Amino acid sequence: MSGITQLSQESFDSDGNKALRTTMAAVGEAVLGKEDQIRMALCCLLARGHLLIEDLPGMGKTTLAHALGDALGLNYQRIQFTSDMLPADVLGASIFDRDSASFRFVPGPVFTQLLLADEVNRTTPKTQSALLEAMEERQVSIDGVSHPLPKPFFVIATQNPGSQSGTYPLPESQLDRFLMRIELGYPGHDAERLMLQAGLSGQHKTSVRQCMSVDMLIDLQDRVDHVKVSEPLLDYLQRLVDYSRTAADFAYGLSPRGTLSLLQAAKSWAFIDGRNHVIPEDVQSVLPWVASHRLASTNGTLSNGLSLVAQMLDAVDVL
Amino acid sequence: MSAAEQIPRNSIIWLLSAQLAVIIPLMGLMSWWMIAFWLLCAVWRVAMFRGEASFPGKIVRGTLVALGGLGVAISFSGLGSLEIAVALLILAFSLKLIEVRTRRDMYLVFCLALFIVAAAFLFSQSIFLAIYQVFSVVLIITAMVATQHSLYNREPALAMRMAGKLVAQAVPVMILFFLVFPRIEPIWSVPTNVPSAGIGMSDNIEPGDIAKLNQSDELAFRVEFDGPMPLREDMYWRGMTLSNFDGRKWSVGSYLTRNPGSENLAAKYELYGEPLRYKMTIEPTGKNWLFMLPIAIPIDSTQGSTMAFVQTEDFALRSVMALDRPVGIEVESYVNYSVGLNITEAQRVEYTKLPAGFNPRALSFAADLRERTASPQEYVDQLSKYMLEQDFYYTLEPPALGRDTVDDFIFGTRRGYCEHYANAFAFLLRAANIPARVVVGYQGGEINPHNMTLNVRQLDAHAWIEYWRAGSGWLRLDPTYIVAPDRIHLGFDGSLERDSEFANNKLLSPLFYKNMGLIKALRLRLDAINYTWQKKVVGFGADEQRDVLNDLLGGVTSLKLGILVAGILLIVLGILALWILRGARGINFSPEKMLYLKFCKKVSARLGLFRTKSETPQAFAERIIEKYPQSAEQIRAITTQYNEIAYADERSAANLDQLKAYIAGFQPSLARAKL
Repeated sequence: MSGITQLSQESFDSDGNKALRTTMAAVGEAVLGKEDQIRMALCCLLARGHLLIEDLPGMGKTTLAHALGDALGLNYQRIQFTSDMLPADVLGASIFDRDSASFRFVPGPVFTQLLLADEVNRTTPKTQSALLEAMEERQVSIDGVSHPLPKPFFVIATQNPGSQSGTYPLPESQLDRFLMRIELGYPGHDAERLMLQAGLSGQHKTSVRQCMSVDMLIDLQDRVDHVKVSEPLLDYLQRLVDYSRTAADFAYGLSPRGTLSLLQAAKSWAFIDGRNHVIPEDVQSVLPWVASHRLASTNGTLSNGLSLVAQMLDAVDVL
Repeated sequence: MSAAEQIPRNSIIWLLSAQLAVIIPLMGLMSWWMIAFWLLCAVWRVAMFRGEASFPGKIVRGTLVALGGLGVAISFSGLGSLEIAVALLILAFSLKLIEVRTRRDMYLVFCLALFIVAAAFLFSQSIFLAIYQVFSVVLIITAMVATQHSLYNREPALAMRMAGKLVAQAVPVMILFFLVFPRIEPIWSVPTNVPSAGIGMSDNIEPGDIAKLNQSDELAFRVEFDGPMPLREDMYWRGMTLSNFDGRKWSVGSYLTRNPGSENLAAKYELYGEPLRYKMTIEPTGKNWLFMLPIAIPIDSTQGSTMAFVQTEDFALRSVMALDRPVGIEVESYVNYSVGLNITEAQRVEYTKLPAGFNPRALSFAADLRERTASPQEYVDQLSKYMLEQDFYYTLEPPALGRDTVDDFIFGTRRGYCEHYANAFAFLLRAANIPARVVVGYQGGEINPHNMTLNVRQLDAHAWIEYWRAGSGWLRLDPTYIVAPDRIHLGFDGSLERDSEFANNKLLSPLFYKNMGLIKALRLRLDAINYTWQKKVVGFGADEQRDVLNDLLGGVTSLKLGILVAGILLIVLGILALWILRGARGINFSPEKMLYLKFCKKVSARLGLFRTKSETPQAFAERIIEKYPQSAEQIRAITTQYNEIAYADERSAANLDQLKAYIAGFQPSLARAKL
């Protein structure tokens, strides 16, 4: 993850920006050496998108989700998915109340501002799709009654790579519901040393201070919507999308939902960078994480989404 | 073999069709069992694909190779080494089919196929084969493309279009090389196309030899006259003279073999009038004899070419090297001449010598007739008259003759063909002590009205005689003309039109179809096209190349040649570039983009840095600054200004002017750059 631009312009929103920076710094204390991923996760959240973190067990997926929830002051729930879980375990159920002699809806863990869905690919497709529908609709319908989910509603799902045993890989149609999919990767040498030293002295931070209120977060999300997008930038965006749809190596291109996600993520990235307009760097920065899980190559396993994105970036003219 | 390694179905089909395509032109060379061999391999291959057969083991493969080699050794014994080599190549090509496991093996087969395409040209260089081979090449390339890429494997039409495009792109380069690539004389020579026994004239004839030749439609040579064509009955294409008679066979005389040529021959003949000029293209015969209108003198034909000629004692032309490839020569013929006005005693003996104990009746007949005539010339005239008046017939299928061929012929069968008449006439002249010899060559030929060339085929082969008369020298006499003037006037097939028996026997022979009007017209038209091809393309040798380049450049120097090649390449590449860049035209760039591109141009021209497609203005700026830190501020200002205008929607006249001013003020120079 690269391309964090050094040529930042003067901030157009010092308040919001400052809060974002402190948030990133606070989360960075809990998840060491992953500044880029933290920033990308925050970008995803500001764009009102859901985040999928895919990596091997023990890489700090859950830690990152916890830290974000703490720093943003969101109430959060965590579901550890298992293979015997049912949709009701996620969404909640109507229970007969003997006192009032009527059915009463008992909300499930999904009714929260930040939901951490751990190892979402360990559960059955039925339960997965219950969660993913709630993510898309931002409401839960049970027995003909719609129950709106709180605002903001943000899902961080983690999953193990598909090659691990005992998994039900998410189908493409459901992967599309996540705005971004990121990988954490192994920590760098220095970060790992720091982590080891903190672990020895028992100083490692597990809780993160709150840096932002919920109202402020909602306000920032609204402001992301107002980031300007120029014609030349839209041209660039469309060239990228067209390339993914026409090039021979791509089994299928980006969907219109994917295009919209890309634009929203780019706006959010520009906002974090302190700009009121999107520049090509923003698109290039978010593209791998917005597009890679929505693409597949024609020659099967030879190249994954990320190499397709690299090909796309190389082939499409910025100007 | 796992499924992943299995060669896809379509590739197998392509492979088989490409193989078939390249084998077809060589079918004539292959024996029937080789075709069966290929079919066996093909069926085996398909069975392997369907899982009904397995890959052959080492023993099976070894056995097949041994069997094939043995087969070639048997079928091709007595043929040239070239045929054997090509047969072995095809054999290996067939066998490879059951050995192909991976894509890499497929490519090997394709390369072999291309090689065989080239090998087919060793046996024929006709335009029809050339056109056919273009399709073969496209087919092979299609097969390659289809094997290379899964998309093309699924879509044969796409693969074929791609292959066509590739071949079409190679054409300009091919033409260029054809024109300018030096024609290097081969360091080693392929023993090309030595005709198999029975084709063309041999050094001796016995009754029946020419009749055999006359059943062949094969081309002997073509003639293109500079001026008007002489009459058909005057066109005696004279080859060698046969002076040695052993009772059955006429062969090249020992006198001639001893004196194959001499320098001062010109003193021995007198030539009158204007010569006929013509250009001959001679098909390879594997022998040295040339067939010309007498007396022929090659014009400068040795200049720049490897052909060298010897004029023999009997005023025929011999090539020093055997004719093993098509040869073009230009000749002047003086058809009015007198040669051999004086002959030596040794020559007189040579040309009147007869073997003892043959044809007693003919000998006494000759003695009798000679006694009744006053002069040798009268004897000749009387003999001619005798032939004309008696019951002699001209036929291609004469009865067999016994030991005394002349006796049997004159007093028995009286049915014969040109060599029977020549044989008898020469014998009777010699019997009367008149020097005589048999001449073999071709008579007439077929005029192609489309390009006014004369095609002389093997079926025009002919034999006649020459006799010596004091004061006149050697004179030509054609006994066949006396008996069957149609043979001379109408040509060989004209004279046979009534000989329906002959034609009916050969329903499949080209002769049969030759007589059908439409087919004849078509054949002549195709022949004209092929001749042009042979002359202009196949015959484009070192001399022609020099001429063309001379015309084009006015004197060839390596500089001019270099400029020509570079120029043509430039034009071709330029057209390609225009074609590729066509997409970029017609787009109206925004003013800030125009300005920014100007900036990029300046950077590339002055600092040698090029923006890559995927590079954003800011990333590019960083790269420039790294090389040219002096102007960091300016570069950043330009980039920021551009970003503001393009992406922050701040497009105003003032901002654009500002950007313009920034770019105008940016004057980097490489001399100060950080290298």
